[in-house]
Amino acid sequence: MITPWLPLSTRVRMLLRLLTIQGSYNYESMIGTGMAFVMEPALRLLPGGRGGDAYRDAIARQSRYFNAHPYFASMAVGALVRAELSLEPPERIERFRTAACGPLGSVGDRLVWAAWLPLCSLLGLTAFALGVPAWGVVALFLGVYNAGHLALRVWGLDAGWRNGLGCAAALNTPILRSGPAVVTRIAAFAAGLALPLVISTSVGLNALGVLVTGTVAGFGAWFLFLMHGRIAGWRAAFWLLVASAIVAVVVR
Amino acid sequence: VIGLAHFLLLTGIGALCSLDTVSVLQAMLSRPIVSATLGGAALGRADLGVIAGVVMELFAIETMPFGASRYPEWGSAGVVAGASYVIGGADVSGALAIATLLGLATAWLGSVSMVWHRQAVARMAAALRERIAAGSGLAVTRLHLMGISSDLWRGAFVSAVGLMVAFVATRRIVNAWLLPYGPSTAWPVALGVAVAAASLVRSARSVPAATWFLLGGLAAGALLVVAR
Repeated sequence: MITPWLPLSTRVRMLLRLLTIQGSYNYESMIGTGMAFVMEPALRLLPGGRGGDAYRDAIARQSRYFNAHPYFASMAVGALVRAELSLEPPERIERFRTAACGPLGSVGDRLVWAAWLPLCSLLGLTAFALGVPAWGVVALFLGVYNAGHLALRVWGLDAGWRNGLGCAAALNTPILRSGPAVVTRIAAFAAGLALPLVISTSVGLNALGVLVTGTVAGFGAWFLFLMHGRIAGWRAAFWLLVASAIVAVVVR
Repeated sequence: VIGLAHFLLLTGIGALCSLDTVSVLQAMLSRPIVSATLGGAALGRADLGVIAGVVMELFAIETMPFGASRYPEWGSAGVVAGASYVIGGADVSGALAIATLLGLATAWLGSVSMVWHRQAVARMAAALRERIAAGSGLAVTRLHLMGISSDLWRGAFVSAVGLMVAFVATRRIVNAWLLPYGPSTAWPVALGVAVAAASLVRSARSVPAATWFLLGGLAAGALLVVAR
């Protein structure tokens, strides 16, 4: 096994390609070909260069089925590039690819989709409700969200590259272990704060109007809570809006 | 006057926001709070676009882009909702309800189109399978770029369909709308808050003590409303 070296320009190219890792997402290989696409600049450094046997074997291996959270996939990319350039045995690489999907998916889903994104949405909603102008709301939402998003991609690629196939230990950091719960608590507070304010600002209602609208919304929320898994709220809302449009326009 | 140039501009913005949903960046330009503001801004009224975006965002909180699950596509939907709200007019009865309705319809169409798109990429991958299995980096790159470009066209198609309906129908429906302004505007907001609240309560109940944070926030929010 050899100690690999990754030039800065190759890292930058991989990082830019990481932003499109789901470009060829499909139900068969998921982000498999995306992984190969992201790693391709680094795989050119294999003995024989672009088109050599080692390069072709690695491309074929890395374009097989793979699925993970798109941001945390950067960690797998770093680890797998290191393994390929270290000329690790293919069986070890295959085992890592199979084992990494679950943890990299679930950690990302819990931290990003279930906690960080709702928190940033609620920050945007709160800013709107407090009278921040439109572009301020957009800048706040995108700025806060993408600070976390880009930091995760860069950290993941670096942690994967530094730790190689042993990068699972990096997932055990306190931030990733307790982060989702902490962010969810902050998001819960932001939700409680934002929802009455959004009703007040977007409709221009006084406290009584907010109470009436909030009560209607509360009953709706309670119904959807009970119907969890059996009905998608946004679809139910769509049909209710269709019905209200018919009442408002057709039934005179 | 809203014409072809606006339509093409909005379609382009919708396509780019739609592309952000999965294929490129995932920087959340596709979230309605952003895409609807952009849609409104394209017609000169970012301040109205953000209102439609906030209402759509309430629905979007319920659906997160978990892997292979089916979820609405909010990028093009937000642009359609923002544009529709500007076309309908601020302080016009029914305008926000129609913008929300058209936004949700576009999100639904976007959701279906994403499934078609993923199946189409799988077919493209099958056509290139032998070359990819033989380790062709060019074949991998080709498949990837084909996937991205077809997703861009998918987003443009969904946006164009939604915008055509918005351009043709919004004013007509709003002109025929008989219900008063207050309830007509509060209704889509109440629906959005209901959907978001159900989702956020579920999320809070999954983490110890988070429900107390939710109640604390609610008390603070209520106090701020009363203090206004």
